Amino acid sequence: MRKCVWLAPVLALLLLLAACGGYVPAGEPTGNETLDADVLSVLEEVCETGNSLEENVRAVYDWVAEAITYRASTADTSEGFTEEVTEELAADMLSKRRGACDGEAALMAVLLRRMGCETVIVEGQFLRADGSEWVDHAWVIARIDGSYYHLDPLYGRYYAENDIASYCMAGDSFLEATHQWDREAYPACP
Amino acid sequence: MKKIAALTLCVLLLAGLCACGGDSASFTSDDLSLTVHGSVVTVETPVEEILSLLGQDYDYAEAISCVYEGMDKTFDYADATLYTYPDGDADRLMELYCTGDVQTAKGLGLGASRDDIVKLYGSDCKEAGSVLAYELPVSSPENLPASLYFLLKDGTVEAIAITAEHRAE
Repeated sequence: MRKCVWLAPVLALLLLLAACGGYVPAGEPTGNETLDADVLSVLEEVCETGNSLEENVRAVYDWVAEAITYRASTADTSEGFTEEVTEELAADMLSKRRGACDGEAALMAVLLRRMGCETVIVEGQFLRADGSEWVDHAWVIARIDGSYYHLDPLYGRYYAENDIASYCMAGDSFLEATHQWDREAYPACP
Repeated sequence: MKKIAALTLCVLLLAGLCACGGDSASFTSDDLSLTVHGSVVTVETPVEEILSLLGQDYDYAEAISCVYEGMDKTFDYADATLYTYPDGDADRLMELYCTGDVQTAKGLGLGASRDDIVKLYGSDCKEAGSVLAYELPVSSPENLPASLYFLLKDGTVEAIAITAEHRAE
């Protein structure tokens, strides 16, 4: 009984310390020290320990939409988004805070993976607001709390000015109005 | 005695006024140009004019823009990259990003320190990532501001860029 009396406050203290501590991401670092430090710095700034994974994902999406200024890409993604290309693009975005859809998708992928979410970069197209043409584009699909969702902060920021959140954790049926992609190549987002 | 007191008061007042107005460092629209390899380049200039100044030794790339109507065009020199935006039949300079022979309108070049920058442009800047940026007020809330920005590495300037005020379509 005496042990239990001592154990309770110790446990309470540990819980309190855990609650007061900074955000600890559940995913693995990339191994690139500079990139990992920058990623951790963003996640610690944006995510809250007590928040749900969905709340933290939405906070990261908002941060990317706000922090990155559009600039034409000069990256070579002709071989697809390999791990090396993805990490280079993400590091460049975090350093310069400028880039195009390929860089934003790479940055989202690296941030979400560090948060413990399985994430793939989608190479597809979006439809211009006036419906005039389909434009090559990149965004991500991530597995959050067991389900897959689309996240496209660049499109949300520039094409849905009053509804940026719609393109965070969107399903296939919502996104297909403005985006197209190879359904066989990527996970379905119900 | 009264004269001395009045004189002292005047001197103190003048000294106070001088101290208040002492920070002449600032960022203005005059700072939206860079001297690259001896040529002055200003934002919004038609890119053909700039290419005739800097020469034809560049790599060119274009792609349909994710954000703007028309094409994203980049002209990539060994130590400078031009980014353009379409304006009717012309492509104008949206951003010039330099990592080589470059000076700002106030004479700052690569290798300068953060303190050097602040002495010339003041402390009213934005810092994010490795970027220290000075921005002009925008003419419309949807626009992104014209700016001069410095990429810092280990406390010194590694790249300098200017951007035009622009808006996504």
